[in-house]
Amino acid sequence: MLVFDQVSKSYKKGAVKAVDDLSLEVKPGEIFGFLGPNGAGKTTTIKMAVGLLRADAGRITISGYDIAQEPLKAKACIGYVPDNPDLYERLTGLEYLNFIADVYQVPADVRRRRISHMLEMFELTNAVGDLIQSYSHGMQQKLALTGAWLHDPDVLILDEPMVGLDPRSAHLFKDLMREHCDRGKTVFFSTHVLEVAEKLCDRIGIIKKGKLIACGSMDELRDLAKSQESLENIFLELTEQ
Amino acid sequence: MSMLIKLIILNIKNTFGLSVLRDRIRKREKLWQPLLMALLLIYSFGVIAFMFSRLADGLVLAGMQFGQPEIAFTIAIVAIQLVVLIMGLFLVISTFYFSNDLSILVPLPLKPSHIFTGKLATVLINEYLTAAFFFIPTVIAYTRFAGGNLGYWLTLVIIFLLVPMLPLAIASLLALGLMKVINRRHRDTLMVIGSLVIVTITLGLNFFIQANVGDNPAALEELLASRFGLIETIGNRFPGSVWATKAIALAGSAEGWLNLGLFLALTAVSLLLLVAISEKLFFAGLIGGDEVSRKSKELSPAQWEAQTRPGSVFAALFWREWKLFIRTPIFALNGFLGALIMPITLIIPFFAQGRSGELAEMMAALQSEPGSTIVALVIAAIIILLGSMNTIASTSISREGKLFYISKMIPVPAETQARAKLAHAFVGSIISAVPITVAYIFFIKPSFLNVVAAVLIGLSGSLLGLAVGLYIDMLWPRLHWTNPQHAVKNNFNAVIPMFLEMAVLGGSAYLAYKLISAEWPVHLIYALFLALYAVSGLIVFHLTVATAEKRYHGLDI
Repeated sequence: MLVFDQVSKSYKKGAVKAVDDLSLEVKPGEIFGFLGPNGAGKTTTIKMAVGLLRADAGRITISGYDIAQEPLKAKACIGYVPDNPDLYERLTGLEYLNFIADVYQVPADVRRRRISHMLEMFELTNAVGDLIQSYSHGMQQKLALTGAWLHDPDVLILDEPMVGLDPRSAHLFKDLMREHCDRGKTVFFSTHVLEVAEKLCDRIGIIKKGKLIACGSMDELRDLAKSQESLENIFLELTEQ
Repeated sequence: MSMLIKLIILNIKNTFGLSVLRDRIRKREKLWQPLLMALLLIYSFGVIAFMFSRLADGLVLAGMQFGQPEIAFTIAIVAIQLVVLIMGLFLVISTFYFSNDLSILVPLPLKPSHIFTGKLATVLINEYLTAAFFFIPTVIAYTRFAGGNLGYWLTLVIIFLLVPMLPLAIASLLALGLMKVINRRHRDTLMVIGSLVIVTITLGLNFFIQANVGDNPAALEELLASRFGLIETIGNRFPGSVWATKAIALAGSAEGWLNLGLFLALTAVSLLLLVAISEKLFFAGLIGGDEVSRKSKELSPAQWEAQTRPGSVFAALFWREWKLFIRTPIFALNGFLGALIMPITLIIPFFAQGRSGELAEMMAALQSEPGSTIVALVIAAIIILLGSMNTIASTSISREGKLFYISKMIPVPAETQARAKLAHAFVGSIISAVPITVAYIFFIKPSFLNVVAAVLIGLSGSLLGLAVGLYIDMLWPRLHWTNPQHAVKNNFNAVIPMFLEMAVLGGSAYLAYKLISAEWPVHLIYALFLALYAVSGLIVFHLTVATAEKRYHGLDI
């Protein structure tokens, strides 16, 4: 569903390799956690996957569509939330959601049902008529997640989605991700919260200095590392080598 | 280095992107872009400087007729003061109160007046660019006719550095007062209204000056006879402009130095007063100013139904553009202020001079041929200029700033997005055309044909500027800004279409002169201009839209 095939990206005319020959396949029904230290290349990878950055080499496909060759078809299959949920502050929450529903051409009854459900879940129903400018960071994050879910995308690509969410919303959101994947869809997300990744993800990839240094289920990662304990220990062991 | 100097340097680096430029030079990365931009700016500056130099030449020559060539300086200084006061007001409000970096600076252990002065320095540098357009051509014209010694050049440099400071200090004081008193709940609306009131008062002052000069022949003769008579009359409402003019005219003499000293003292006192007041008022108007209260009310079923109604992709993009533009006071003011001010400045002479015999004669000439055709074409030219001055198209990518990721993320062709942006800009041109058209109908009372011709030619002519503006902004968008003002006012992309339109209008004026001299029928002249503008505009419009995909694709964020 989401395939990275020998993808590379460098900055400063090749002096800094942000992503180095990354190959990875995320399958339908899978929640994939993407981990790595700061500056490892997580956000660059995600930005390339959603079409915000061009890869120097390699190919990224979403639901079979190459993001470079068929960007519109690929983007129609993606729901994306960036690491910082900057939204149009001068629109109301509902204006933003309706804008997103319009550009993804979500039918009226479907958009109303989904918006209503998500807003209730995130307790945003009373705030949705207010300007986004007045929202807290967490509220903006919830609105961005709602927008990403509106068109029921095949692949959800989320950069640090838990940041700013209160414990209740984070819990409901994790349920939502699981339910999304149970319907054969895919979630690909980056996080620094290792406990969440350990409990939630079907598979985990660890990136360091642009290279994928480990990828697999928790059991596979345990086999790879000497440590047989938590993901935190495995992560520290692998990234400090 | 003192904290204040550090803050000033930091603000200058941040505002003008100096660190980014230095980084590019160091890495030799895409250097052709700033170089091409610099060339375009030099060309643009050249066009404007040429226009002003002709004007300054005329003023110096006219002034020499009655022994007062320095009148050119008085007029340049008064013009600088007016422009800095009016435009500076909006610039200082946005710089002092809407910069994103204030949330970093305010919690630091810095004095309010230091943060304020650091920001003021960047505004002042901007205003020097404005002042240069008026001042340098005047210096060239005057020096050519009157010559000058070392004292003269020294005086010129000091006066140039001082001139924008005084009106900027006044604008800043007004901004400090305005932002202190306005209610937080309706801050955006009140800021727009308050600023417009201040601008109207300033223009009203201009009205009284013109009214005072009047057209009394005896008084005029007296003004012309005395050495600085006319200068004192024009300059007496603008603090310091007479001292500044006398300092230049009498440079090197004791009286010249005295006048320079007076002007320097006046500026220094006003700045010191401003800094002292900023210590008390700046934080009072700033802190919490960006907090917006929520009503937190559940929408009624009818509201819910209406606000979740599906629409076309194009409509969604158009309304996004429109709402974000009109709801951001800095964007809306920058877009439509010129359209509001232009008719007022043109109407002032009508009120100021009354409907005297001379005016009635002039009106008769404007209402009959060829005057009426010329006026219709001039109104069309103003509509074209206002269309590019509103900068809606030429800053439409830059205005998105860091939110441009949404435009890149959505599955909508860049062509559709470009079309929506141009449609929004065209609606903006129509709105910009309304006040001047109303003024035209009300004061000149033209025929129906002339009104229709002026509006249609004007709007079709604005297409070219809009399409070129969007193309340039797609090429070099300014996406990384800390203050929305940077996206529209400090964005050179906004300037280029204006100069392009000026060049087109220069050629059009020549063509119109030839056609009117050759006594072409009026409707043919109108049809020719309409066809020329519409065809060229639509061609560039389609070229811009056609290249949008490539341009969007090339913008990594």
